[in-house]
Amino acid sequence: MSNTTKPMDGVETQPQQIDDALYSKQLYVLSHEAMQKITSTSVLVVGLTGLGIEIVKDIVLAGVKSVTLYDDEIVKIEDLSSQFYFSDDQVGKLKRSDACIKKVVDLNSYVRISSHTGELTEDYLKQFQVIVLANQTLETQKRLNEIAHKNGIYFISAETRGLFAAIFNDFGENFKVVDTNGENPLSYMISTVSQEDEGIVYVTDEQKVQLQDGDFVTFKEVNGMTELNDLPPQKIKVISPYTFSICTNTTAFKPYTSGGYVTEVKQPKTLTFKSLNETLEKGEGLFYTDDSKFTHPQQLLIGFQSIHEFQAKHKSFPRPHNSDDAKEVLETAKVLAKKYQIEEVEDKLLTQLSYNAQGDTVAMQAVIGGCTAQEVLKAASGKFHPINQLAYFDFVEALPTEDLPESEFQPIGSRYDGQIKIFGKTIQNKIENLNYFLVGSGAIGCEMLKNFSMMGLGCGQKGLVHVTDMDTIEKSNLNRQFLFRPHDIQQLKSTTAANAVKVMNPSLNIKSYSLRVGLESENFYNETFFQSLDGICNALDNVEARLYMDGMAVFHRKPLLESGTLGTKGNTQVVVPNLTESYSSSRDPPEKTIPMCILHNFPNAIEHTIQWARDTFEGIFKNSADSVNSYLTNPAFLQSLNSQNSTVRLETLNTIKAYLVDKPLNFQQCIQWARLKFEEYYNNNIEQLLYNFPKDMMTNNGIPFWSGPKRAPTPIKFDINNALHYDFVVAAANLRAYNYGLKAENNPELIKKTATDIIVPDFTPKKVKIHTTEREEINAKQQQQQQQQSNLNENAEDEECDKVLSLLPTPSSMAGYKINSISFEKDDDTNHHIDFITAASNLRATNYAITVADKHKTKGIAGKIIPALVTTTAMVSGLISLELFKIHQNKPLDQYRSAFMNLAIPFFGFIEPIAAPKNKVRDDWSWTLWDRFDVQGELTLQEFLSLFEKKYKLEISMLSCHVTLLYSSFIDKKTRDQRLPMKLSELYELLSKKPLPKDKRHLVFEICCQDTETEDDVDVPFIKYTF
Amino acid sequence: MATSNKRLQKEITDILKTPPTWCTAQVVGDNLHKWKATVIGPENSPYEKGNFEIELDIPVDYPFKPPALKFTTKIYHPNIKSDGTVCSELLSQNWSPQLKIFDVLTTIRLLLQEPNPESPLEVEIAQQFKNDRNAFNKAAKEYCKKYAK
Repeated sequence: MSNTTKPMDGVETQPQQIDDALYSKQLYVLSHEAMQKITSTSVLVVGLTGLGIEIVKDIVLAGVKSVTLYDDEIVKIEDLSSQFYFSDDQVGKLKRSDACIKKVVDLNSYVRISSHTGELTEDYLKQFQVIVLANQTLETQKRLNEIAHKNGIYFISAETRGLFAAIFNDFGENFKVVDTNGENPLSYMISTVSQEDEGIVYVTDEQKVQLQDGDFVTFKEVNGMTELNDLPPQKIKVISPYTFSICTNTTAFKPYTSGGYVTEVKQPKTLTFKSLNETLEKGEGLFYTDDSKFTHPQQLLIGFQSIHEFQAKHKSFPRPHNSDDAKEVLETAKVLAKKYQIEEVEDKLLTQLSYNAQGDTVAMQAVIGGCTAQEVLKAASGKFHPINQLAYFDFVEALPTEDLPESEFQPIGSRYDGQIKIFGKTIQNKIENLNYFLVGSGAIGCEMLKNFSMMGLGCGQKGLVHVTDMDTIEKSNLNRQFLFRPHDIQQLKSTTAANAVKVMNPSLNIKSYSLRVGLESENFYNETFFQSLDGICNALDNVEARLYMDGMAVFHRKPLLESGTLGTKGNTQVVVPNLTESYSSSRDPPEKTIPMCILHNFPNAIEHTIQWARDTFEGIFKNSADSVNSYLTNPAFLQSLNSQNSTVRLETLNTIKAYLVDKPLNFQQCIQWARLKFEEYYNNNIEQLLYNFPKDMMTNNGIPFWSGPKRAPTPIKFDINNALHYDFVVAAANLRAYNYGLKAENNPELIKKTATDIIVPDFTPKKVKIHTTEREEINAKQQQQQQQQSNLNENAEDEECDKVLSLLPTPSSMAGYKINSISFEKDDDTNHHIDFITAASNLRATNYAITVADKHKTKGIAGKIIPALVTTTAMVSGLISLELFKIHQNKPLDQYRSAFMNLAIPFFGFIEPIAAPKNKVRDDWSWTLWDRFDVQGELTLQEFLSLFEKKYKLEISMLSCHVTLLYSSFIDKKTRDQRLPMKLSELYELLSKKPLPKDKRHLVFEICCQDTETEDDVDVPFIKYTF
Repeated sequence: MATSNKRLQKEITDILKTPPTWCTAQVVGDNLHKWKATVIGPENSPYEKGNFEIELDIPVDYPFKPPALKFTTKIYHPNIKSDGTVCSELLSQNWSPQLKIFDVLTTIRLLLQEPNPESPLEVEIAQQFKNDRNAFNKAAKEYCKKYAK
């Protein structure tokens, strides 16, 4: 018996039609092709406790075709430990599937949600492409797997038992993985290719070759040895970091001359999966999830079977912390160990498993649910490598270390019973009364709020969660930020999320803010605020805010939970006061920017032309308009312009003239302007460049100037019937019209006619002639000198400036006039911004024979869109929640874990955090980042310097507060004498030119100093100066 | 913030303690993140004896991001735009947190010593540099005489 709930909107949508706006961030990871397959996949989820609902949530958000919910059991109070869609009033009354279906339907109107009740027969199961089991008995797992394996249905079974878990995949005997790692194909610029039996490819020294033996490549745009361009994918052998050979004889090919790229061709991989029965029987296909626990997969292979055998016998899993039950489990394990020829049974580990078997915490459901949901998407699309085949996880480091009595772990009839069974009542009580600051309620923030409310964090009398986020909700958020619904769009994220999560657990004490964290909000998130906290949880999307919060955590000595995701990649870091290093202790290598000469003259990749188009957009539609508006409204504008050099001044004035005097009066003139811009960018500028550097020019070293990374451009002749040219004119004309508040017309005939009819002046390159005869050279030189002299003449440029200025209307004559400056907005499909950047970039790419990019790709690069998946997000939120349990048990350093993972490979890495490094000042004095000097009471600069000299034997040579330099031994005597008697807080106010807020009670100083005894420069901690 | 301030304190101290002969550097006003430097044109170059003023804007996350650099003295050079911006791989692709402001100034000096016409910003000047060195030298010298006093 099945009951289908229609999408809430009542709109029947074609599953094949992909809503780019909703799925945009996910699409950058999965691609449209994979998304098509996902949207035609029907999934059955069996088991709807915390793990099941996490999987359901993630795959519904990801947008599969349909999800059928199956769980006929009645809701129990302890289900509420992690099932965020159950409520108190459903306990003992509703079937699990009925209790949560409404809320699942609300998650994504494109996904058809239904429920099933009664038998799961072979006939019934045949309609699904994927079936997922969550926390089912081993008997059910085996029975359903057999049906699935026989019928070619992809089968996934996941289970969490306290802090232990397992995921099993069976995708059939012939499963094709189309992308095994999620990375973009590697591509290299060719330097040369040899003519021999197995041709050797030399790439330019820009980048080392990261390909491996056996990888495949194709060639394109090769000159000379053009035969390469037509070869099928070539298997390679790597010779050196810059060379590799291909398996084709190139002796008969034409010699290589120039250009060309070699690009990796990703090879699909076919996997063969065994049934669950066979896998368990042979004990094969174990996947390692933690390299430091290399014995655990085998131990847990027997351990999980043992607790299942216990369950089969007693109709219940072993009781929490019950030693009798654990003994029985161990007996079974010993028998199984013999079968697998495992020498030693790890009693402690398997006892912990037995103790944990009934445990249920949302942290684990988030980790394992997120991971399992990604396996569902892999099964549906063949995108990314699945777990092959059986993975065990454990997070025993988070378990209580002391030998607590069994009574600690007994259920008390509360919604947190599942968690009490793992951690005990004492820790549960502690968690409920914690005060946390959650910074951000975006993707990670929503998951964390769900985790907090299920864990009970902030739900006790003394507990409180503060959440802040300055953003409002956008459509593309709904794909991951599951606390938000379409009707919440444009509402504040923090408030909406707080309200939504209050429904999940009404006991949650939560306050929401929309004030961004940073220097400017220091009065609000002040010392009293931070002192009230037990910990900080970052849920941020930018490094700057992360660094700021890290600074706050270190300053106030509070624990910090940090995490981030990038597509299928995720990481977590836990920062513990006086123990670990902090977030800013180690940093990623700096982001590479594109050198300006490459942007201006020598692009060789689509990223370069997109950046150029983005800069051009900013220049002609925003900065120019801003200059004009400043000229019109800011009386000091011309004066400030005078401080610039004469060239810049003249350029700015000319721009203002062009925008103000030569302004368009109707849309047609905007089209004409767009047509002339086309000529300037894609013909004239290129002609000029080629005039200065002809295609056959040689460098002083005798190699062609246009070679290697420098690609020779070709001018483009305008052709209105070329879609790309037309698109450019339309987008540029529309933006121009917007600048001037003119009405744009969507009339292709008018646009075509206007753009074709306009007379475009012929272009003659600016002269700096290449001389052939001596006489010509002399003539040219004279001419040039005159030219330069006039260039040189500052007065001439000034005169020119005055002349332009005199042509400008006075601001008073234009009172009230304003040009609409355009701020780049990537997410509005009707505003022509991305259209302009796509066309402008692709035309320039065409100039340089660079492969063009479609609108979607251009938007991703120009908008710096960070690809994101709900699955990865859920996982990192779960992992960092497990660290939270450790912090509030005061665990030693070696029990914490930072995680690095990539679900595409898949790869999981867990490492112990790095201890806070010790800096030595003297033999008897070393310090870490958690130390500081505490200076209490207002002092003058003189008193401060003396204090350090007398008390610490340090002579201060420089003293700064934020960016302000308060004192340095190099300042002149007069300034020094002025500053020495000043109170430090006043000195800071004076020099920073900012009054200190009234309730500000401390400043942070950094010093450079010398040991007065040894005269060595020494590195010392910062100073907390309280006044 | 703490990292960058400490680094900058050290860097400016080092430069002031042992000032190089060919450049000066100082903090503008009392802001550690705004520097003004002067590079003296290298001998045997058309920029010889010129004093070239450069403004450095140092980002909050320095040294993880490079300083932004701009010539305030007008200069005739293939790699320096008329508005004073410089094209240098050191300040973009090859930046590393190990590098210091002093290294940046050294690179600028080398660029004055040996312009790189193969990756020009000002293509016309680059072309002249390649094809008519005398005319280039003359123009560069005149600019130097006029602006880089």
